[in-house]
Amino acid sequence: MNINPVFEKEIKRHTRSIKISWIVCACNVLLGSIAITSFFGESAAFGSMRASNYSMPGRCYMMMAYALFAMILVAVPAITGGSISLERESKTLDVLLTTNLNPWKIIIGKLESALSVVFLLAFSTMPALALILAFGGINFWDIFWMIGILLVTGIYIGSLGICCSVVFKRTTIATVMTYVFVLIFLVGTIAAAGMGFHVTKLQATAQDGGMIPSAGKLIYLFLLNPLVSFVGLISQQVGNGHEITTICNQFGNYHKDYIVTHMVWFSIGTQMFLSMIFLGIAGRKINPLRK
Amino acid sequence: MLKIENLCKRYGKFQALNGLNMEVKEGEIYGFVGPNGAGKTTTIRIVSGLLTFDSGDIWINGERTNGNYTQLKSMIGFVPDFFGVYENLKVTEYLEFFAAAYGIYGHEGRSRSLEVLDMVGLTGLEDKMVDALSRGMQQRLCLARALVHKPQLLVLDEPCSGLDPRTRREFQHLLQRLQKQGYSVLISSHILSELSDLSTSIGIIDQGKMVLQGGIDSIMLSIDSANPIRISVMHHLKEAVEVLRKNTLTNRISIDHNVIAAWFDGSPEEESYLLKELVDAGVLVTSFAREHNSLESLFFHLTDTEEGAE
Repeated sequence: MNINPVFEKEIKRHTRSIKISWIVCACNVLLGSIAITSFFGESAAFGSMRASNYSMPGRCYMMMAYALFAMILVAVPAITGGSISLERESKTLDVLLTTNLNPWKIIIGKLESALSVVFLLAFSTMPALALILAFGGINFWDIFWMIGILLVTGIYIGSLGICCSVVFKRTTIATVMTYVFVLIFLVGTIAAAGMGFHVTKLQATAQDGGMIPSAGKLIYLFLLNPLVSFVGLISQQVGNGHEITTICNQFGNYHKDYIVTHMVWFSIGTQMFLSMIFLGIAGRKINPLRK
Repeated sequence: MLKIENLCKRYGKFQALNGLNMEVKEGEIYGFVGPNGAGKTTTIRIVSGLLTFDSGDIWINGERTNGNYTQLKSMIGFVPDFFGVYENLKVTEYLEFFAAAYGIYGHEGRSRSLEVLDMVGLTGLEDKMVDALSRGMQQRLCLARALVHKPQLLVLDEPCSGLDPRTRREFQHLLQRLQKQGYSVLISSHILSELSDLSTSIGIIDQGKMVLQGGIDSIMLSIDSANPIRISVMHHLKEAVEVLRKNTLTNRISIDHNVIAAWFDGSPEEESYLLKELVDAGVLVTSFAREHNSLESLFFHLTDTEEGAE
């Protein structure tokens, strides 16, 4: 099977670009700093002869995983936000569309190249993550699943970035809008659920009891939040596995809510579904021959 | 090669193409001219598969291509007016990418890339970065890119805009070489003098309709025949006037010092006989030539622009 030419071209260009080198460098410095601070910090505080605290590698892993997640949230919009708009600005999109490549193949090639950056970040940080494997508490499969969720996030944010890049003609606007949407998904969904909860809380206070404050259906906005699926997974690896339900219960009583109790999987499903919609919009909008 | 029949395209209330008919024959360079907004770019974008049309027919090599854009795209090599190149790619990688985009992969794509580089005179620059090439070389590379999938028709939209005169001339020669190799070329340009030198056929579009098309020589001849022959003589002006008046093909003459303007309805062969008659009558003719119209004046006349009115 032949490789998607757009993906192959983008990979070549990315690997030669200084931008990717800086992203990889920043990511490794960040994760390395976390590892050094955690391990040497513990030794400095309690002495190097003291037995390691079992929770320390887990905490270190958690910080590294969140740092990696944050790096992907920063890097993927920067790459995909200009993926199509840059082609349009540099007048190469028309030429690309006159070839036998159909718009979907162009879009998928762009997404694949964004995912390759996620892979690159994940695998380049393996030496730092391997420290945790050496000290125990986390096994290879935990890292495998973590990379899997990072890929889901990469697909989700990457598809959003590509969609913005098609919809907004200018690269700057497309990139800014991608970050704005990412922020809405990360913070806006929590803020909306929080507001919903506080409104019902005020109503409950006014009614003087008889009403249980709850964010209601607004809690399902969490399904759009990539942080939710990631926190859920990390919680299953180094926590008690109920962090998401605990967080959701801050916004009402969701103990028996099937979606909330299985939030990670539903969130992954929702993100994949939305990714398909974003790609669908992008593919349709980029097609000059659409009816 | 390419035949367009009754092509119509509307953007909202604006009728961009209004029953356009045109034909590009095999192995010819077809110059496509028209004022801004006449429908040139719309036509070129439709032919290149970048735009749909409302009604009409497009035929390539006798096959109706309506709706079958894959077939249309594989037969056409498109060079846009403004072209961009990818940074961080070598010349061969750039061409191999486009070869793969047309389904030519691996070794075949590599050898085809080298072949087209040779065709456009860029051999030896295979490993150079694309963005390090001069604009003229990038234009050649863009042409090589359009040739990579062996199209039957090259569609060039204002390909020489922004090129210096020397590079422009080289690019013209390159197109003429490609024509000799059997490629058909559809080229739009605003530089009419350039098109009249380069094209074998010409089509003038105005308000979405073809107002004139045909072989450049026959068009120029037909418009030139309305112009007078200017004859400069040294002596024997009276004898020269007498010869001209006796000739039944001469409609009118006017004299300005030693220069006679004769409105003569004959063919180029009959013009030769007229010259012979003058010489036989003892007239010393120092110059004898029919006044030529430029493509530019024809363009202004047909498209009725402000410049034309002037």
